Order: sequence, then structure tokens, then C-alpha cells
Amino acid sequence: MKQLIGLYFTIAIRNLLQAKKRSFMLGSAIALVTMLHVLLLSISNGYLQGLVDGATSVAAGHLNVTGLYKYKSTTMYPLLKDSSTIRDLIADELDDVTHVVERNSIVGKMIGEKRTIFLFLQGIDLTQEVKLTEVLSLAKESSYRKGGRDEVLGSFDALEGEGTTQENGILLFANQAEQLGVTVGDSISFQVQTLSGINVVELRVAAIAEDVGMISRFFTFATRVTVQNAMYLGDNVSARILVYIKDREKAPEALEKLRQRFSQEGFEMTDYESSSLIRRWTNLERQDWIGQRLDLTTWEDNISEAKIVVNSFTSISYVLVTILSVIIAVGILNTCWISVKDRTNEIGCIRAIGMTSSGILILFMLEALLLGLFWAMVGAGTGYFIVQLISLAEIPITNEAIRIVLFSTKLTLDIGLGDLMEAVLFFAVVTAISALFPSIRAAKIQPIQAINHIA
Amino acid sequence: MSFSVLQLVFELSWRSLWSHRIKSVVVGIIILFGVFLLVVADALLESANTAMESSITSSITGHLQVYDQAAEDTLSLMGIIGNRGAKPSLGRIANFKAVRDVLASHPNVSAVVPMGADSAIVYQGNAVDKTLTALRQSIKHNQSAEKQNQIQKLLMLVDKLEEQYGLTIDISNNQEKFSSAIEDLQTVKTESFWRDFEKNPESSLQFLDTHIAPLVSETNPIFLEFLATDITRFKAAFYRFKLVEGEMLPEGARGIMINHTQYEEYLKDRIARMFDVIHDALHKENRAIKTDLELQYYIRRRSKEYQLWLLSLDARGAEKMRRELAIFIPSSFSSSLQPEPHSNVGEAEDNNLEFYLQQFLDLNDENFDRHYQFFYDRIAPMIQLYQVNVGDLVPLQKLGPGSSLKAKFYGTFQFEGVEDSGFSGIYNLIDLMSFRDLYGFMTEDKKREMVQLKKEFSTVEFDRAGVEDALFGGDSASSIVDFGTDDEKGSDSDSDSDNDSDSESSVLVNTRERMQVLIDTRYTSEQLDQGPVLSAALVLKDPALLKQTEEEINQLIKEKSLPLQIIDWQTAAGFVGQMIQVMQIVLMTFIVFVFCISMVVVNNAMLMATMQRYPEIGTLRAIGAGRGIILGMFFVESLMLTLIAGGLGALLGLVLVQYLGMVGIPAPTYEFRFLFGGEVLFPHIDEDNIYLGPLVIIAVSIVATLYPALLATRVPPVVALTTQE
Amino acid sequence: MLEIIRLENVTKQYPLGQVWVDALRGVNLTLYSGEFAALVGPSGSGKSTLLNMIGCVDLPSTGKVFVDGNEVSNQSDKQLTKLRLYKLGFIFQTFNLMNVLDVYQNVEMPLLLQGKLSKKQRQYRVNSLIERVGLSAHMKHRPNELSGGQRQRVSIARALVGKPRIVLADEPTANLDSVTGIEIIDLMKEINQTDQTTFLFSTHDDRVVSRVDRVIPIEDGLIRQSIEKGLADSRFVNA
Repeated sequence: MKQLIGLYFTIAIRNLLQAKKRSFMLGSAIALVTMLHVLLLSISNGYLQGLVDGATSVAAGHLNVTGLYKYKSTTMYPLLKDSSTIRDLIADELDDVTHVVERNSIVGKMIGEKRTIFLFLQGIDLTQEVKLTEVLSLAKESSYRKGGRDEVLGSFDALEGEGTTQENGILLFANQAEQLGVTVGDSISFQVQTLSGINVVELRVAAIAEDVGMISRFFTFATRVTVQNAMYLGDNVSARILVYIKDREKAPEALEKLRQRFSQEGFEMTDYESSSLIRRWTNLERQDWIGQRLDLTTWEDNISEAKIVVNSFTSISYVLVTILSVIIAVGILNTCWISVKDRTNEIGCIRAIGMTSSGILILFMLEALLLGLFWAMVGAGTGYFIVQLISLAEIPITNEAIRIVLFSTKLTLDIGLGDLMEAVLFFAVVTAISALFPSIRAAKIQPIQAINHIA
Repeated sequence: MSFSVLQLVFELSWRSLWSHRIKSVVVGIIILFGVFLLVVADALLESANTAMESSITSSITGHLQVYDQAAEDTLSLMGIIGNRGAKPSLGRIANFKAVRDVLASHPNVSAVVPMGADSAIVYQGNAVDKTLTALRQSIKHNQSAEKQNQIQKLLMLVDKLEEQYGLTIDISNNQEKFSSAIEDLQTVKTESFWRDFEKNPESSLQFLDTHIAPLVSETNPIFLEFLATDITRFKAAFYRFKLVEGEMLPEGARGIMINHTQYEEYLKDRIARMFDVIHDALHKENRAIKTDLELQYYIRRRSKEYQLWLLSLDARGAEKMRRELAIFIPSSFSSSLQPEPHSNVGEAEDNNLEFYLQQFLDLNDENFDRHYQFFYDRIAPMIQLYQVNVGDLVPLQKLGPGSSLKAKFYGTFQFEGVEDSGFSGIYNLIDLMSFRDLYGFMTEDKKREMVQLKKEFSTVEFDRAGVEDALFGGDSASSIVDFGTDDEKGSDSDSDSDNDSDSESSVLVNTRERMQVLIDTRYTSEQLDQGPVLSAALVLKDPALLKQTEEEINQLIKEKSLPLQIIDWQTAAGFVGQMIQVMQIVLMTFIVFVFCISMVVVNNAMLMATMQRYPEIGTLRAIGAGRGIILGMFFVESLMLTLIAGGLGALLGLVLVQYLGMVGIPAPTYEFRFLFGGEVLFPHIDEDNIYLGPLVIIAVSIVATLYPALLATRVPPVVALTTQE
Repeated sequence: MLEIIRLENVTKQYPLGQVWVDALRGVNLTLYSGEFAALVGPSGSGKSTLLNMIGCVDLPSTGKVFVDGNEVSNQSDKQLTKLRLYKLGFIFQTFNLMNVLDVYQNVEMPLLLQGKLSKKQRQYRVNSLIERVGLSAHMKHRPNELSGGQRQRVSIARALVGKPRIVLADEPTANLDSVTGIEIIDLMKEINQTDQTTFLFSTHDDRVVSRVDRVIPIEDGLIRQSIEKGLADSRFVNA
């Protein structure tokens, strides 16, 4: 049996090599579609990757426990009163926590020279933050200011201020600095709604970081003390606890555990919804409760809105690839059909000398499968090559609309080996299946037909 | 070639096609599908484009927009993406009149409408302030019942404040301030306070004004996007403009008009809105609460928001509502629901009201219509149905530093025919004068002013009311900051010069009288034209000539040396316009790929089919047919095949589009409304569109099918005859 | 003598367009092991049809066909295929070798299909057969690199490699020149004599007729008296 398989392969491969022109044309079509599929997949992967990175370091962690505080039923603040208790509970309940970060948070108007924008100001403790400092890197002045110096100004340490005269440092992202028209060392005003009225704080730009995707349009950082002071909060108050675990895919289970534990310990929580807190904010704000409640989300919940973009993109690309696959399948079907007709003679003969009809079927299917496999690999390989090239080139996205849709300022592509193999396999199988009908027909050919064919 | 030869060729071709049916069908189907796809996709995109254009040009941008040549950013009336409040830096058109005269001279321009776009915040007003004002009124007019009413309300507010401060004291970093606030609040609750009040109301009221009212923090501001314009001219130029409620802004007056869509969606009481939405869902969209999870969820969330009612009702009102509901509810329900525990103290009477409200808002398909009716008949008159009412003076504050004013809300409007497009609901209208007052440049002076102000007053008290109080004294609830009005100062209301005259002309004498004067003032169109505007919309008589007109006006601008630049509506719409481009690119890419692959497959099929016919060709050649005849035969074959297949494809596409044009494609999500220019897209096919695409495909198909034939005719007869593979 | 093939009253009709042709009209025939026989008759006599019947490539309209004792008319396609694989060997008029395989592989194919021998065993058998037909030098060549005669020899080797009971050859010399044709037949005769393999030809080539031991005349779908060699006269006697 094994030797027979060797024979089949030999025949199939040699047949393919013989009909070069035919197999080349169809083959290049298969390669093209595979390549397209790989490229499209890499775009959505890259997009997701950028999103996840931003979502799990700049904005939030793998798991997020946000304290929501309402002192009257129509307003809500991100405030957490018993953060140390919560931290202890988290440490106790989950085993695979790598680190925990605590932040304050408030949204307000950043008033700059050029214009005013709304930003989420996060109060951070640089000694605690791990992932954030990995992800952030400081930007050269020339990247956010026309005619700016080609060097990096400011530093993370400058956030804390030197001595007591230089407080209230803020870290902006390059796009924000550009919009506001400021550079390191400038002052800007930040207007927030606090528990006791509006407050305007004077902030000093301590550092400006390179953009890390769309999320860096909305978030900015200062020390926790700065934010607490801006909101007239005591230093025992925070807003959110970011939990990082070893395997972020396990976040949902961890979330469930925490919810149960918190509930046991008497903490009140919001109803769980798989969407970001920002999206649910207004509705929560108008809900009829006062006091402290905890809101738990996973990193996936936080990017669920952005995921919609990926999903639409993926659907469109699937439609495209499907249509193309069908067209190619039709082509292969046709080619195979004619090939079978031409080889009726040959088929009849080997049936006469004793090959079974299933053997014929296998032979033809194998030919098609090998054709598909080879060309799909060519296509996938080319696609991979292009992806690497584009990733290296770091092409910036200039079209505003695409920027919004892709949530990124750079074109990011990413494709893994697993995806490539899947793509190759898929198209190889499509090719083989297209040849099914003609192969069945071939298998049905009786030896007598072959003999009569020439007689 | 003689006619009979042609006939022969035709017959041969036709019979060939038929005898090689399978190949013909395969190739035919691929071509048919390609053409079909192209026709349908193109029609859909075109239709969406047209719909979008219609809704945008007739509700916001006009067909063309001009603005300052020296502007830093490109004009984008949809704002800068991703950040409300970030407006493009546009410079300004200093002399609008000159601009208008020049541009209006172009034959295709039917109107030149001045514009500026920005956002403003509407603050709800301080509940304590309102109560105190009403209390003062009641004392002045000796209405003791009303006085008691207001005092009750005040005490209720005080209780709430006490609770709030109690909750926040342990997280604040200024314990002192909070403790003293709580002390003050507790003082108000004592009997001795009210005894003093009876003796000397004014001094107690003073105390309340200065110590209690500031404790209320401004919350839940409403953001409104405003398009500042000469509203009268706007109405004339944008033909879809239609008044809905209230009255039209008088010509040359100051004031605002609110977009009816926003009025209903954001400014209406949220539970009233819920009733409206459910009513539409049940009666217009034929949905049912029982089967529709989305509706159930919506009802569950919204119906918890009756808190606002409880807060706004005084004791008498609450009791009245309770009684009405008590009569209504038992006739609807027989169940006994447990009331949710409400942690507000001092509202013991309301527990029952709450209970009834919860029952009332437990809506289902059976009771909805009755409850809807009851709501509008009974409850609506008792609550604040809209956050601002027609005729009100609405306090507006600009996003960003400083300015604020009050404007009279004359009425609501809509753009007929494109109400659901999403675009038409974006902007409210404000008059140019008020806009100029609000819209300042963030200059060094303003910045300094703010910093200065902040330094002088402790940050706790720094809110709008406090500032004005401090600056101008008097009744804080109705003061405005006045940067001088045009009828006082003359033609140039450049805000830089404001600062100089600030100290002189901006001190208010009597705010109410001042307000009335402003309301009654009518500005002439000269006065309106002479101030700065940010851009101007050009409405064209014949939109089809847009490109040409744009060029011509550009020329005109250069000739007259006007410091302007001109863009079309799509660019002016900003992000949205680019969205269309993106989609067109995506579609094109899609089609190109499908096309390429199809051609490869078709070519392949034809190649194989032709090779199969080598013996046939060889025979023909052997008996004396020349190359031309053979080629002719193949050409005719290809032509017939592609024409039939392509024609069928185009026909099917046409039929589908016509069908969709009758039935309409409903927008699957809210975002699609922008794309469809409404809730439903009715696609159509333009006569010129339908020819180009299919023609291209057919032409290329013919080439694809003909090329193998060309090769075949080159093969010598003998080889063709005897070849086996 | 062992009986290998037996036909009992076999008839065969087949359609040619709208017309039915009576190819065989009641054939009775028995073949014995070791025979070197030929079906002889003019074109249209039904000899190809008869050969097809014996080769289990076609089934009779009526009558019975026995191959090595098994009645074939009620056997499934699978069973027939097996029969052809193990018991029958075919040599076709137009060689019908696989162009994509070389000589060695073409000859080896039936053994692979049988799947009963190890690689070494196969090698032995294939090599010896190729040597037997005198093509050792051409083992790695493709069929289109060989002459007509050489191709036919490869066919013979392929037909024999599976150790069939009987080898059927349809006009084996039709496409060969006179010299080569004789060579081929002599080769087959030699094999028949040394290995006792039964051979049945269908032919109207005199060179073949003159070399076979038994002539089976067929005309108009019926077999005349089969003539044993010895009778120089090959006239037919009406049955």
C-alpha cells in the first residue's frame, strides 16, 4: 500500500509538470488569492495587536477593577476608597498575578495655546507601572512641532518634579502636544469637574511620548498626587486597579473569581457587561444608586467596540476571498474536466491492467491537491514577504478616515506561521474539492470506453 | 468579405458555442457574474454618495465653502475626529460683505451664507438658586402658600446636600472646607434659623445665597454644536429648512434655534424619550417588547431614571402624582411589587410614589399604549419635559476659557426629507452676534486673565457663577459676561479690542434690563456682514456644474485678490467625506481583484477549449480557410458569448437595483444612516453609469478569449490536424 | 489439460448510433493452459469484441464467460478489476504506456497495484523481465524516447510481470514494421514455451498466424471450427 502511494505521487507530480502552461495560469490565480488572503489577515491581525497593546498598558490592564462613586444619584466619579483591601483580596484570590498597578483617573478639558481638547488624565505611580514604561518611549521635538529640535526633551522622572516648586508635571502624547501647540516645559490648564465644583489646574509639560496608536489621542498621564490634588481628593483615594496576569487569555475566568469574592466580602458591583466602561458610563451615571460600587472588566471588554471595526473588515475580506475562491474553483473544475476527457484513453488502459476506480479518483484528486498546495504556498510565501517589507517600512497612514477606522497612525501588519499554514491548507483543499466531480467522472470510466475511444 | 461568408461564420460560431456548451456556460457565468457585481456595487455606492451629498449639502455645508486662505487647518464642519471640542484653527474672513458681493456675482451661485461652527455647553442652573429666586418672588408678592412650598423644596435640597457632603468628606483632601459646609447645612435645618428668617428674610436669604447655593456643583452639562449664521438667510438658502416648534428667529435678532432631532433625543426628559422610542418601535417598526431583547433592555435601563422627577417635584406635586398613579395603577396591575429601598432620607412620602412609578414604568406590549397616554396626559405637565423650553433664555458657555452668555431659544427646526440622515441632526443654529461674543480667540490676554482670576479666588469657589459674582456682583443666577455689543461699539467686534474696552463697558448695571435690551435689539444685515465669520457656504443653482463653478470662483478669488480658499462639500464635511473615498477605494480594489482572477480563469478555459479544437481548425485550414476566416469565427463567437453573458449580467443587476430601489435597504446600524442619507437607501442607476462598467468588462473579456484563438490560427494545419494533446 | 477460459453461447449486441450491431452471435470456446493461440478474422468479425469479453473488459449480452473457473458475468467491478490484475495480462495495439513513467516504473506498476511483494522482490522480477525483453539499457527511459518495437516490448514485460494466467494481445503487430513484428511474436513464443504462459492474440497478420499453435477463425460473430496446427489448409468450414 505504501509503495502504491509513492506511485500515485510520482504520477501526479509528473503530470502536473507536463501540463505547465495550464497549471501555471491557474496556479498563479490560486497564488494571488492566497496572497490576498494573507495580506488581509495580516492587516486585521496587526490592527488587533496594536489595539491590544494600547488597551492593556496605556488605558487599562488585563483585568480592571474600577471604583465608581456616586455621592448623588445623577453624578458618578471614578473613585476607589478601599483600594488596599481590594488589592489584598485580589492577591488572595488569584494565583497568577504578575503585578498590580493602581491609578487615579479623571476626564477634563486641556486648554492649550491652539485649542482645547478633552482628555482622560490618569494618575500613575511610576514606581509601580511596568507595562506602561515598556510601551512608552519619548518623542523628539521635531515630531510634534514644526521646526522643533531633533532631540528628546523632558523625561519620565520630570513628572514627579524637582523639589516642591515644580509640581504638576504631565506627560502628553505627540499628537496631543501638536494639537495643543505646546512643548516640554510649557504650561497648560486643565479644567475638571470635582466633588466641589470646577477646578482649573496649571500643569507643566514634563515629557512628550511617541504615539502608540489611537488610544494615545485620549489618554494622558500625571502623578497620582497631581490628580488627587486636582480633584480635591485625599491621598488614600484611587480610581482603578489594573491587574496583570500571566496568561491574559484566562482573564474571563479570573474576572468571575474576583466577582464572586468581592460579592462575598460585601462589595457592591455593577452588572457585568462585555463592553468598555466608557461606553457604559452615561447609563451608569444615571442609575439610581449612591455610594461605592466596583466595576470589573477584562481587556477584551475594553476593546469590544474597536473589535467591531475588525469584524466588519474581516467580513468584507471573507466575502471577497470567497467570491474569488468560487471563481477559481470553477476554473479548476473546467480544466480538470477537460483533462479527464483527454486522458480517457490512458485511464481506461490502467483500469484494464488492474487499477481500481478509487485509485483513479485518488490520483486525480491528488493532482489537484498538489497543484493547490504548491501554488498556495507560493502565494502565502509572497504574502508573508510583503508583510515583512511593509512592517519594516513603517508606512504612516495619512488618510484621516482610515486612521479612525484602523485606530492607528501607522500601517501595522502581523501574520503568524499558524495563520499561514491554515491559509495554505485551505486553498489546497479548495483546489482539491473543485476537482472532485471530474475525478469522480474519471473514476467511473470503464476500460471498454478507453479501448473504444481509439478504435 | 461577402455576406454569405459572414452568414457562414455566424452559423459556425453559434453552433460552436452550442456544441461546446460546457465551456460556454462556464465562461459565460463568470462574465455574467462579474458584470452583475460591478453594476450592483457601483449603483449602490453611487446612490449612497448622492444621498449623502444631498443630506450634507442641504443641511450644513452647501455645495462649496470658502474660508481664510491663511487658515492653519482645513475646514472641517464635522470637527476634528475623536475629540469633541477640538475645533480646527481657521483664521477668519474679516470682511464678509466684500466676499459676498464678489461671490454672489457668479451666475451659478444662488446664495452666500456666512458661517462659523463651534460647541457650547448649556448649564442646567443651580437648583438652590432657582429655589431662592422663587422664594424671593413669593415673599415679594406675599404668596405664603408658595413660600412654604419653596421652603419645603429648599429643605429637601439641603438634606440631599448634607448627604452628599457626608459621603464625600472622607475622601476629600480639604476636610475643613467640607466640615464647615456640613455645619452650614445643618444650621439651615435648625428652628432658630427659620425664626430668624421670618424676622429678617433678606439676611437669611443672603446667607443662603453665599453659603448654601455655592455648595451645589454644576453637573451633567449639555453639549450643543452650533452653526453660527445669519439665520434668516440660512433659511432662505437651505430649502429643506423647516420650522417645527416655536417661532422663527426674527430677522436680525439674537437667539438660538435648536435642532429638533437633538431636542427630542437629548433635551427631552429621558423617560419621555423612552416612551417616544418605544411608541415608534411598536407602531412604526412593528416590533414587540416581548420578542425584542433590545427593547426590554432599553426599558429596564431607562425606567430607573425617574430620580429627576423626584428631585424636581415639590411636596405638593409629588403627592398629586402619587394620587393620580394610585388610581391608575391598580387598574393596570394586580401584582404586589416590593418597592426598592431608596436611601434618601427625608423623602418618606415618596416611597409610595416610587413604588407606583416603578409599577408604572414596568412596560409590556399589553399595557404600553395606555401608559403612554397616561404619561402624556397626566405626568408630562407635572415634570420638566424639556431641559430648555421654547422662549427660555438659555445660558451658554463656550468650551474652553471664559465667555458665556444667555440666548433666547426661539424654536426648533428640521431639514425636511433628510431628518434621519445623521448629518442633519448635528447642528443647532445661533445668530452671528452672539457667536462673535462667545467665540473668542485664545489669546495671551485671555489666558492671563484666567490665571489671574484663578489666583485671586480660591479654586473651590471658582465656577462660572462665582466669577461673575465676584466681577460684577448682583444676582449671580442671571448675569452675563458682556464683551460689548455692536450697536454700541461700531463695526469691528474684533475680540482683541474687547479686552481694552472690557473694563469700561462690560460692567453690568442692571442685568435684567440689559438682557431685555439685547433680546429686543435687531441688527441690520450690514451690521451682521461687517463682522468676522469663519467661513461661507455657497449654494449653487445647478449642483451638476459644481466642479466647473469651483474653478471659476477660484479664478474670481484670485482676480479680486480675496484672501480666501475654496473647497467642495466633501472636503468640508471632513472625516465623513474621506469615508466615502475610502469606501470607493475598497470597492474598486474588490472589483479589480475579482476582475483579474476572473480573467485568468476565463483565459485558461478558453485556452484549453481552443486547444481541443485544433483538429477542427487544422481541418478547416487544410480545406482552404484562411487565417482571417478562422479568426473571424472565433471573434464572433467571443463577441456573442460576452455580449450575451455581459448583457444578462447587466440586466440582472439592473433588475436587482430597481427592486431594491422600490423596497429600500434599511440602515443596519446607526452609523449607516450617515451613509444612506437617512434610514433607508433607495438605490438607483444612472443611465451613464450602466454602460461604462459592462463595456469595459466585455472589451477585456473579448481580448481574453481572443488571444488563445490568435495563437491557434498561427499553428500550421498539419500540426493542428495530427496533434493529440 | 487445465481449462483457463470457457465461453458458453456468448452473444453481444451494441448500439452504433441508432443502429444495433450483432457483434457476437453465439460463441462457444475453450482455451487451455499453455496454449499459443490466435483469433483470426477480417475487420468487423468480432474478434476485438471477443477478446474484450475474455479480458473481462466487457460483459456478454447473453451467455456465460468463465475465467479460471469463475463465472464473470455476476461479478462486481471491484472483483473484475482484481481478476484483471492477477489473472490477465493485456497488450494493446497502441502500446498505452504511461508517458510520465519510465520503463522500469511502467513495468513495475502492476506489482504495486497487487501490493504483495517487497521492494527487493519487485526489483528482482521487474529487472529480470526487462532483461528478458532485451531493454535493460533503457530502464530509465521514457516511452517517448523509445521506438515502436521497444515500446511493445515494454508492454509485454508489463503484461507478464504480474504472473498472469493468460496474456491477451489485441493486434500486437499492427503498428510495427515486418522485422520488429516477427521479433515480438518470437519473443512471446519463447516465453510461452519456457514459462507455459497462455497467449491469445487477435490478429489478421499472417506472420502471427503462421507462428501460433492454434488458429481460432471468427467471422460474422461466430467461431468456425478451430484448427489445430498440422492442417496447412486454413480454409473455413461452415458450422
